Amino acid sequence: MMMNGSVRSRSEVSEYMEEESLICKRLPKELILRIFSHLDVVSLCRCGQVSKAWNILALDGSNWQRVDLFDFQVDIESSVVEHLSRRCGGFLRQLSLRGCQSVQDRALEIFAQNCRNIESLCLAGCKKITNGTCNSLGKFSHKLLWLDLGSCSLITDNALKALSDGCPLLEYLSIAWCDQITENGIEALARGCNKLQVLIAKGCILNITDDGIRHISSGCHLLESLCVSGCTHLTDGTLVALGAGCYQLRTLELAGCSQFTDNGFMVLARNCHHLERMDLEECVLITDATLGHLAAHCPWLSKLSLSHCELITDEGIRQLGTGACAPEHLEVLELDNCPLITDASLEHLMGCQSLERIELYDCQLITRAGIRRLRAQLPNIKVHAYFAPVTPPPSVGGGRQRYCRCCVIL
Amino acid sequence: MAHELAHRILSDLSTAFQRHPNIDEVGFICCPTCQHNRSPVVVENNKLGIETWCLELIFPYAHDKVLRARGRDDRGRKIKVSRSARSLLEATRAVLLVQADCLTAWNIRKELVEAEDLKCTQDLKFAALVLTKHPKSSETFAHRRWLLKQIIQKTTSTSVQPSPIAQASHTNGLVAGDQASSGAAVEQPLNTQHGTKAGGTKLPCDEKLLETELTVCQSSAERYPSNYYAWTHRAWVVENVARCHYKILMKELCDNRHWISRHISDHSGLQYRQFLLTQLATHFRLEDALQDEFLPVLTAEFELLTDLITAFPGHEALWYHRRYVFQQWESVLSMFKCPKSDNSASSKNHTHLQQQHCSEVPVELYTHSASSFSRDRDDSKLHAAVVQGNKKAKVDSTYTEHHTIQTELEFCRNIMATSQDGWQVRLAGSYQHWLQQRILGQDNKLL
Repeated sequence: MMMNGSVRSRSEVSEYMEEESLICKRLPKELILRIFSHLDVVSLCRCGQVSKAWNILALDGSNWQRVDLFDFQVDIESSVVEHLSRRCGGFLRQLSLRGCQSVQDRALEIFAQNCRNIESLCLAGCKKITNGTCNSLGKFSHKLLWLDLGSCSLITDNALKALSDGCPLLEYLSIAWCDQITENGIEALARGCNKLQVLIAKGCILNITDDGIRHISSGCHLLESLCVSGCTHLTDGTLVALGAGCYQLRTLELAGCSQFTDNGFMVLARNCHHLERMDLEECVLITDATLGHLAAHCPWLSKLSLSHCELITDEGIRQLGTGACAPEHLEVLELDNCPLITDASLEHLMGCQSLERIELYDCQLITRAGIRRLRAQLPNIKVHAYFAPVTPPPSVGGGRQRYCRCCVIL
Repeated sequence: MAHELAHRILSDLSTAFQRHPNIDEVGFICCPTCQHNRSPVVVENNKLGIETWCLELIFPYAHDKVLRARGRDDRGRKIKVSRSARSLLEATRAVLLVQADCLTAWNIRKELVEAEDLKCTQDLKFAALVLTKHPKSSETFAHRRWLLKQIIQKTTSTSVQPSPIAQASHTNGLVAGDQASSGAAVEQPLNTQHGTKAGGTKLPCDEKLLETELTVCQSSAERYPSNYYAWTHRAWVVENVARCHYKILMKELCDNRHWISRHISDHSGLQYRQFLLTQLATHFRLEDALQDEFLPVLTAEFELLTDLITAFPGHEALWYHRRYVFQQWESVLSMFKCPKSDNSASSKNHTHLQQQHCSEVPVELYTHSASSFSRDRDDSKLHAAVVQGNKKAKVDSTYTEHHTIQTELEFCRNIMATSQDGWQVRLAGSYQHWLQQRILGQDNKLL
């Protein structure tokens, strides 16, 4: 605050210290609280050790609405969580225990009992957590909106049932890599959590099936974002189901779901007009027809990944380029490892004014000349290919050469 | 832009390793510029190839990542490794394939093993891969030793049998850098029940692990001549993984024989052979079988050396090995020759004999006195001196007259007379000189 390095006499120093403490007293509590509300956990604890007054203010519940313990990870033991929950009580709204592998059910039960106003809870990577935690949450945490249970692989269907019963307001749920979940759990979830907007179920390789998604579709009409990457057992039935119930879908991550075909996407596209981001990496069966459907029905499409979709050809890209999304919305297009793509595709995309990034790794028919022409039309575009010129580090002299658009030097 | 490309190439590497888990060799494909829009990572028949144009992109990127992981965050705390295990695995892998001696990268991998994000066996496989490209990397071998210690610790904590403690050997001081690494050595009580030749106890280690390790050492030694690190590592393995088990020692001796016949001037290979012989000596001494078992081994060794020296003239390494073998021979025999009590009469006789050696005694007389020393059993006075204080009185005469200083000197003379290679003659001469110094030295000791 008032630190300067000059040397002062003793009387001056004591005066100086008095001044400082006066300032401390002069600053109203509300302002100090306001300042503290911006601090992180460690700084808050340190401030709490400065003086009695600061101790009370630092540990005031209002400063502990959002707590993030990610940096501590394995050092966080159950007792810490318990103390924290007692300290924060009803003030705690947001808590992240991501990566805190030592935390167990008992601590979270106490937490749930003490912090009934919790809205956002991240338990990703807390590998020891079992259904008990979800039971506690279902019993006490009725205001829960946001829950991340990624990598908590001991969780089973009963956990989802408990959440379904007790947390009806749930909007965001991640059960990534919880591979014991089956469609029964999903069914329970869909029954109780009708406000669900985001569901992340990637990596639940074996047990997520079309039936599970059908339940979601019938129960969660507000769903905007679904990630089932890696769930290889899903077939077109899933896409049909989504088309039947989830009209609000904006983000769809289907990477690795290699059984999907054009038929499924036809139904999906015809019903879900709000699709913005789609990850279709390794959906190897899809052809240009899918791109046709997307171009025709999804005008908001901004991010599309078709990595490893080996059947896509220039024709599909032509349809995309002339579709409703192309001129203004399409921002990212990933075509890496699509071997049939040639420079013609790049021609078709020249009308996409918003296109920021295009991935062309391993598209061996693309030439440098083709890329050069595209960059001439879309100067802001980032083209990613193996032989794409690497931008040199900013030169010291501020750049001597200037290029006009028709003489772009690659 | 460069970052994204580097990131893409690293993920290509990861995909390659995922799809081909049995990659066993890596090499760089000379390709100064990128001609095609094609991934620089190529896998064929379990061999990994990386085009050189991408190295200057991925190495700085990966190395930077590695160093940043070792940095401290804004609050001065050490950044925990497990936060980004996968990306660190990718980065360290890229760094180590190019620069195998980057200890920082190896240490990160050690932490990942401890955090169980990486398995010991996987990392052993990777280290073996690195060795195919950088066979002389000391850090890679040190990392292998750390991994092996981890594996041994895990298995010994679950097994019941105590195994013999590792003998102190000449590898201790030479294997530097291991002292720094943690990994507490498990102290085991000395097992007095060594497996005898007839008994044949179970090997105190996983056979497959041992075999893999020896194969790795072998291939590294083949890729780089006189590969000090590979051979020292091999010795460490025999000592700490195989616990100097008799069977392993004999098998290694046999395999090594083939090796040195094909790689004559491999100093490190011969040094390893010396290590094996030392271990065998210790083993047999404990079993009281020095005479029956060890001396024939040494005799075979002498024969082998004679063959090789005459067949391939001018290799210094062989001559030095011969010095070692001769020293071992003499030390074994001296255990039987030297009387334990201080009998002045015997020592006087001994001195008398030595003095005879010093002067220019005709060869025949030398031979006579040497053989009479052992063979003439009726010469009780001399014989008594030998017998005194020693349980195993009789030294088999066939041994004592096979290899003495005299026979060695004769060997030298033969070589010098028959060889046409000037360098060989010089080597024989210096060996002769060494032998003569020994004689003088013995005299000085007694006087």
